[in-house]
Amino acid sequence: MSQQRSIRVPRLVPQVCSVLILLACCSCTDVAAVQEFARASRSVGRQFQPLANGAIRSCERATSFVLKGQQPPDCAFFVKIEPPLLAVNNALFSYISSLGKLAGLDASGTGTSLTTIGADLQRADPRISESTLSKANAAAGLAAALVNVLASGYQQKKMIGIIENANPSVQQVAGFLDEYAAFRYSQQLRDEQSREQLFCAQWTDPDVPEVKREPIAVDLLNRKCKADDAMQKQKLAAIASYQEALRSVAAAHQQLYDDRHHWNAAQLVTQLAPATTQISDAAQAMSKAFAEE
Amino acid sequence: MKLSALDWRNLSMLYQDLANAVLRYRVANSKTLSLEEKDSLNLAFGQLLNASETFANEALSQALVDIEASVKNLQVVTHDAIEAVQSLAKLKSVLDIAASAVGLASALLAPTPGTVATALSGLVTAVQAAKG
Repeated sequence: MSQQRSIRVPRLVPQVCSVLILLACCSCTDVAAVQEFARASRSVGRQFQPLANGAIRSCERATSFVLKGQQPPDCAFFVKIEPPLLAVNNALFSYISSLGKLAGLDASGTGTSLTTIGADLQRADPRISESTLSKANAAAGLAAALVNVLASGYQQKKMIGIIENANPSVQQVAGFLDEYAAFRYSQQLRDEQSREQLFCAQWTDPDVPEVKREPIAVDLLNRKCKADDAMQKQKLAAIASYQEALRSVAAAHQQLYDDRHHWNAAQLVTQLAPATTQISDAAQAMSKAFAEE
Repeated sequence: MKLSALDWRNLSMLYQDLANAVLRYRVANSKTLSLEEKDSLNLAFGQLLNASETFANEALSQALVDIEASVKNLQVVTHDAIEAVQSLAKLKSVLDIAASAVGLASALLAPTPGTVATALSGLVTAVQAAKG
């Protein structure tokens, strides 16, 4: 009886181990897409400050285009509103970042000390029998696989709870940043554009007496107006990208929430990859348009 | 009458469109308008744009107040996530300690001085990592 058991167990142990190790590996890769997504989101979050500063500068430039009788825009508002907006942006992207950290926390190394036990045993006792060694290795593999499954299961459970609690707020805050904060910044740039257009129209208008007296200045102003227009369009496109990125963050988070009880690696990659690419592109566009001002 | 953030935002967009319509008219009819008419249009453009900006500021300020609770909730959830990261790190330590202890148990079952020493050192390392 005991002899029969000793023959069957060593045959089954490697197969059981392989299955468990495979299971452990699958559960770990599930969250890699979330990690990528969080990394891209952080890069967009960091670009908010240059964007906010860009709006203040845009307002200051707009003030320089004020014509006789017009009131200057209220640039103090942008200075006053910047800290709370930065706090809101920070709240959203800190959350995404913490989600990424949770997803990226590597539980796969858990129990690695067990996997070396066979080598340790052999090093300690070179005369150790093959049979004892294979039993020790099998037991170690089994235990390592078990602790991995346990650790990553805990990780996913925590993530699900957090995503459930945060989803309504993520939707609202991302919506606010898109529809109110970025909208206001975009509007400011369009106002600067319009004010400059009128300024240029006025100071290149032959009916205006000063224009006839200053032909060189008029030519220079014309060139400046065209160059500024191109720059403003680039900034407006960057803000539109940021707004699109916020929509991607909200949509991807909603997707994570909707599918929270049946995540799988392939599906997560399919769902999050377009959003991740879009968000990375937005970060680059914002960096190019605002960081070097 | 109390307007919502969305109302202010919509009003702001309408005024901006109106200001731009005045601008387009001023530029398109530059040859036919008198200097006085141009000045009046310039003034109207400025007033419409200022009104649009004031409405947009109102919309943003009000929306900021409206989402205060959501921002606070996000901060709480972020704190929870960070705590989860920390407790997960602790769990990892606990599991490492447990795994090392199992290793020591295996070594003790087939005792040779070398295996016990190695397994014991593994356990000590895991405990030290958990403390650090």
